[in-house]
Amino acid sequence: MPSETSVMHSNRDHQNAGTLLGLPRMKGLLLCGGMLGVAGLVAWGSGFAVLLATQICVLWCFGLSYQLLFGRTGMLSFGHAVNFGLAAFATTHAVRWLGGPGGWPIYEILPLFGALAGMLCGLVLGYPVTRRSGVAFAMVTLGLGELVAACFLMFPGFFGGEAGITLQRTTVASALGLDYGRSANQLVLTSCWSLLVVGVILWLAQTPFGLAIVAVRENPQRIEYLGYRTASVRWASYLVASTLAGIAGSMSALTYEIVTVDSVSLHTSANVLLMTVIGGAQSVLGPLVGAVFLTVMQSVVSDWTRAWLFYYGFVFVIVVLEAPDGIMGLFGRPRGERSTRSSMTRASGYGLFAVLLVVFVETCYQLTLGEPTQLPGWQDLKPPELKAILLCSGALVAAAIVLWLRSREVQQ
Amino acid sequence: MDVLGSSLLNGVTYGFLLFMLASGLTLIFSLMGIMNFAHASLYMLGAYAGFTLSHLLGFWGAVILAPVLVGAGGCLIERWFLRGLHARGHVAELLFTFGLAFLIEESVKLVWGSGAVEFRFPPALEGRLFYAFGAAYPIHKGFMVLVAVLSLLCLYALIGYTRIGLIVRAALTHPKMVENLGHDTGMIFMGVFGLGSALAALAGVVGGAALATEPSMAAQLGTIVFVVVVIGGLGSIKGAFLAAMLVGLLQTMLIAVDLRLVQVLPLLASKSFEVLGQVKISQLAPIVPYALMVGMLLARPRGLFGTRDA
Amino acid sequence: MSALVLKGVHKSFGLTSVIRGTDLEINPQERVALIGPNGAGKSTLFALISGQLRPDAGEIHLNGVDMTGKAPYLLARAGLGRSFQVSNLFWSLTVRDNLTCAAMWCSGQRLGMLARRQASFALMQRVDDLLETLGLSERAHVKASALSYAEQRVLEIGMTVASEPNCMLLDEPTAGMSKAETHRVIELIKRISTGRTLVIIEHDMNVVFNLADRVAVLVYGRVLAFDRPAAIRSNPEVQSAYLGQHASQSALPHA
Repeated sequence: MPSETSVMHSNRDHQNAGTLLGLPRMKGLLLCGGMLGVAGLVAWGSGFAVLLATQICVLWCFGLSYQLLFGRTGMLSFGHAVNFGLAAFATTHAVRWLGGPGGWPIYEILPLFGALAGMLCGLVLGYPVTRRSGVAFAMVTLGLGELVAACFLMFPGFFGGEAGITLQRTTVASALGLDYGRSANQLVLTSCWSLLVVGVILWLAQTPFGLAIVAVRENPQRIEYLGYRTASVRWASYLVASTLAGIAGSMSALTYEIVTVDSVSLHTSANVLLMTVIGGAQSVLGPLVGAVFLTVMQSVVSDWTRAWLFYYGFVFVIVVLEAPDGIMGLFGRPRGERSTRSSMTRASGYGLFAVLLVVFVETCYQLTLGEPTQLPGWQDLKPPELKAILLCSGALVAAAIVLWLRSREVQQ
Repeated sequence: MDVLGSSLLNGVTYGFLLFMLASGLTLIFSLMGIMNFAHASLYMLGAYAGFTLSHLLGFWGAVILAPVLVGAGGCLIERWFLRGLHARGHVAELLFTFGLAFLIEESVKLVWGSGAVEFRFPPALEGRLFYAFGAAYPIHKGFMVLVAVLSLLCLYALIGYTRIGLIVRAALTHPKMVENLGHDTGMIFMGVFGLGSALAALAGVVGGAALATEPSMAAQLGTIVFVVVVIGGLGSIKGAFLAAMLVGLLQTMLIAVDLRLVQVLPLLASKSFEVLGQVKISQLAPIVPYALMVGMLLARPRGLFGTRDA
Repeated sequence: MSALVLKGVHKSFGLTSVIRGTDLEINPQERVALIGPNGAGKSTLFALISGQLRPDAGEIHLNGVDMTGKAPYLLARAGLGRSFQVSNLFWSLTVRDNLTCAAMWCSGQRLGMLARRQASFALMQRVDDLLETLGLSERAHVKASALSYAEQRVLEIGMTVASEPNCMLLDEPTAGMSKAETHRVIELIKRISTGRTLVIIEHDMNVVFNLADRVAVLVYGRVLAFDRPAAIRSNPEVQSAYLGQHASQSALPHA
């Protein structure tokens, strides 16, 4: 009975993205914890931790815009980075143009330039692409994204060629008299804007627009018989999502002080997709979880092992197959389904599998690359030992996968 | 003139390679509605499998065994994963194949390293086939074209003249009906997916040896193959062929042209279009295929010869 | 001015001609039952009227305006409501949200982003009234997929009337229901269709003769007869084509 074209989402009540007041206990706690964490970082954190936190906020904001487009309206886009990146470039040019001595003190509202750029993208690019839906829409956004990225060499004035363009935050004065050369201040501003975007998303969920986009995802046929033109609803959704992505884009430009063509590339579009799906495309906190996951993998785990990309892709595939609503979706499942004991068994089973997989992958990399990973103990192992470990762990991993596949067959 | 001729020749050769990939993809899409993002990854797997097998069985053994192995892998992917995702809709399938492509690329780096590997044709295929337009046309390129043509003919014969092919053709436009008639659509889907994967792997063996065999080869070719399939029309092998030739020729020939846009379109000579006019035609080469794809999807989602809408 | 006019409507699928020249003129606020054997093209006719399909030939006028081949959303905005033979709801939304979606466009809310839905008194009132009328007030927070079959069919009807249409098309609303449920639904339909034009596809002859002002008999894509129920019952052509030889009796078996 549910529509065959419905996107992967569980039976979660969409109103769970509800009001800030009366958020489910866990989410409220997470949010408070997060804010405390930010405050702590601001006061005592190392430069690296502050930078990571800022990156997480930017990605969260970007992910929220994607969640509106994909999670709520069901529009899978492979080109969302276009809105993000073009806004980043626009902001950089705005800073170069407006900055310097005698410039207006508008640093705090610079993301509005990004929002404006994003809105323009949403208006101009959004109209043609939203004439299509589903797989055709995904393909069009893919093509558009590649098109824009491929154009970058054509306009070195705007895109700055291979090296991209840079800016200096401190050239724009602050309205509050703060020094944004200090990364802690940048973190506070970024998190404020992210929270603002969260507020916008939560607000929109309660408006007619918010219900209409969910209806279009649920049953695009029926909504037409109720007076709504699905193409118009999708365009409106794309417009809002682009505007929010634009805010994220400008924050990205301000934080890193450089924008390259990578910001509009398929790589960035893929990242926001992976991140939002892994975190959970149905919850406001989903993109945050995804952002944390991606940042930890990219900046911390990458120091230990080269295989982090493999693990990243692996987690994504598992999430797509087993947990369509991402990590946040796992929390939302009704508790009464299975006993705590069997949950513990399952959890430890997954944990064991994860360990075996890591052992297998790391050994593989070590044999292939010839250089040891940074994980403790690996450096001392010799090739024959490595090969033995490889075979054992490989066999166990394969056995586990076969068992898992069989259990899925039974379920089907 | 020489430049034009040799790039024409190269364009056609590249077109044949694209066609081998596009034919499998369009078959899979038109039958199952799955836009297989991992198709180019299977191409890459074919190249790497060919590389490893060529050390064990020689090149000719690799040409035969690599597609078989990857084809079997494709069958398993369809059977274990895609079949279960079917109920969740096309977007879920697309997400899975996207993740799979990512995972395959990383797995390749895991096993064979992140650099390129030395996968070369055997000495029998080195050397030149003929001399034309001031350049030598190597035998291995001719071999690639031969493999493409043979696989096209086999595909054509299989689909057009066998009973299985008849069922597949029926299932292309009316899958539910075919199921109601008692045919095991599960086996058909598995078979077609495996066949498409095998074709991609075969393209990988010849393509990988001719071009480079490295982890980024899937990403480089992946989106172009989608462009070909979309332009040619989903569900049409003929369309895939023509679109592959078009894209192959466009890409190869545009790069070879040493003109700026303003020399071709004099209206861009005015000051306001200066930036646009200074653009070199060769810079347009990567853009044109994507522009065509976007244009086709917006104007005519069915593509040039398609039987189903995108 | 007629509420709904069909002139010479034709529709074929490939070589199969389904609607072969249908003419129909329905008066405002009239209740018309559309009956006919299976395969006669009744659902296809609804699809043509509501914009789901485009007729190959002919014209369709709604309230005097030519709406031939227009998209469904335009017809909905012009005051046409349609229900589906197989319930076509927003499955993972609650009953309340389903009705809110249906009522939103016509109450002017559309794609508003500046005000919450709850803030619109008119919208909330309409949804509450509907829930009351449909008898689903107790079930307002239940997901549509969790409702019983009869409740889903009732919600389906509710979605059709939520947009305050001036012309309602109901496609077999009582299919699969027990006698008691059918009776309740018919009373509901009578209530909600006051002041509106109603066209209802039905196989249950009791319902048809109870509810309809006029009955249109569709056979092989053409209107065989369009008259008051009593006249239809005694029409010999209709009897042989559809009702059977003993149609003169007042109690008829369910189709």
